[in-house]
Amino acid sequence: MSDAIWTAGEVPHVLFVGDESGCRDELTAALGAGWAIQPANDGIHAMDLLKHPNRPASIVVVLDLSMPVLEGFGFEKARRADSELSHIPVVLVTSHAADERVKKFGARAYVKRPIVVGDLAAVVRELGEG
Amino acid sequence: MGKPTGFLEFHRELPANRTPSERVSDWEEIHVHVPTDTLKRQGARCMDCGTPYCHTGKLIGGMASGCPINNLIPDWNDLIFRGQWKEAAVRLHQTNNFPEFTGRVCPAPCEGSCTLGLNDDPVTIKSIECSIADHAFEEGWIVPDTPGTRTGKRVAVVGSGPAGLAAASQLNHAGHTVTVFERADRVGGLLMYGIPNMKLPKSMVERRVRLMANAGIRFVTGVEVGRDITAKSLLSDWDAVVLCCGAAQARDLAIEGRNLSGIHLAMEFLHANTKSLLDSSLADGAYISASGKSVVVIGGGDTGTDCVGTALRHRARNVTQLEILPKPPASRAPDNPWPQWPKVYKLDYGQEEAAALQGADPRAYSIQTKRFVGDESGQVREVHTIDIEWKKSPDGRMHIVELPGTERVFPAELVLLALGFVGPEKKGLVHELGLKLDERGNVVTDGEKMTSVAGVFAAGDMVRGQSLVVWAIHEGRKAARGVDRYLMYGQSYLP
Repeated sequence: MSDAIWTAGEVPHVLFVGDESGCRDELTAALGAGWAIQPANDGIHAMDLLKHPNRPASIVVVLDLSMPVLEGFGFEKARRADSELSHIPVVLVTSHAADERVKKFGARAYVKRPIVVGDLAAVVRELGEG
Repeated sequence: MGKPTGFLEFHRELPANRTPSERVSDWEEIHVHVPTDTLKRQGARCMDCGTPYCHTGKLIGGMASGCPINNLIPDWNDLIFRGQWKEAAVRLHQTNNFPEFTGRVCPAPCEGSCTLGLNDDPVTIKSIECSIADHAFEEGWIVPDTPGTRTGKRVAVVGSGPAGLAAASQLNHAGHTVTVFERADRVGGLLMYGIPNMKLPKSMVERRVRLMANAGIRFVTGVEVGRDITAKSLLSDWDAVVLCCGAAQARDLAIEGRNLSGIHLAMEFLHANTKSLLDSSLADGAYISASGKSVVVIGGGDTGTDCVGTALRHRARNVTQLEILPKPPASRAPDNPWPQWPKVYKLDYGQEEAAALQGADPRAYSIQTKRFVGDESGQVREVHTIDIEWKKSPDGRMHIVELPGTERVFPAELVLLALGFVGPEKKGLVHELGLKLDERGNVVTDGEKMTSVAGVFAAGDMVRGQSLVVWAIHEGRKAARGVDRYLMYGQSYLP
């Protein structure tokens, strides 16, 4: 039973999955008002949030592949298998863009490490509007 | 297979038991340790068969053929031959959470399906398993299995028998936060209070439970779900629930005189004895004593044997065991071929002790109890029986035919009913949750071990009816995988 639930109401959300809190804070600042950031510690926490009845309508997932409990590939396998969640856009944060598994991953967008927060914010905005 | 000719060179050697006359004077384990050299030779007898039936665990004719938890037996037989004990212990724990239990109490269907058993004595698999587990504990290799990360999911396991403990162990390994509820005052279910100390020392159950607690599993004793906690609150307070409540409803004998005093269900007798033994070395007198009494045990299974062994340790005047089935043959019948479980005559520890003290195997076969007769104070004094024959009906079913003129009377001041179990208790938990039951009264589960109520899983005797400890471990592991997949959105790394 995860503790965190969506609290910001019906504004576009970034579901930030991973433990890079520094990057998360910078992204919050870069996106500015009109966006809310919902952190998730790991893939299971993220799935619990996506399955929560209070889930907002507009979400962009920013996903780290390396996480404890349920890592990024596992999270995506579960999310894509769920017809209610499979439409949600995902930005993959990776330092292994050339990795075969990442290539096959088929995320809507990639952001390479080291993260340039301005680039990430632009990608999030674009997907959020799309 | 470390030694290709091992099976030709070495004969089967089992660990020596302490003599019956010595062991009935205490409650300690009946076996003695096997020397390492002997084990090495016994491991060398394994032929590492192309198809190792010993670890297949198939049900043939309703009985397990090979190991139900698919222990990797040829692997560790070989490792023991090579002296690689630690590797053997690791390999053993990959499939079996509690080899120190099964190495003692399992009837060893693995040995019944060992290929060597076709025309020779099978490999001493059970004895090797037990020795690997004991050796690993002695060396300090068995440490708490604490998960690296926690999922944040909370699971309640109801019942702490082998199924509940196996499920809890696996779920904790997967990172879930597990609480085990047990209604008795000690953890272990039938491992604690069903099986007597001489067969499975309670210190070993406590040792394993301590390891699990140190790995992060919480144990709550003296709490009955369905009475002290509502079943419905389980559903709201936990992410998943695993019910491992056993097949605790004992089969009774509704015949004349059943209400006389001195007639008890086997589990009342065994539970009270072990509790009093652990609480006070029997000094508190809070047990059903067989001392100086003529004891009749009705039922020829393992529980009946445990009653015989326990009554003899009380210094019963004499013990008789009544078995309704015919005496099994000395070797396999034509309709019971290898690799089926061999339905053959066995002299288990209790009967061996009775034979040593009383001069003969205490069992009478093909015998049915007709009524109990008591004295004016309402105390049982006699068990009246009749011999029977098993006949096949035109529809293929076996039925009983009483043989006139074979009526017998056994003097009895204590009668113990060890007639098996008819299924899970229905009142309380099962009823409150409205769980779907099968035609035998067992809880119905799907392939993931989930019951008819979402998020509620069930395993062990509660699902399959009374069975072996090793099947309970199998069930608990399977339920843990089902729960893990349920909580982890369809994914599980558990075997």
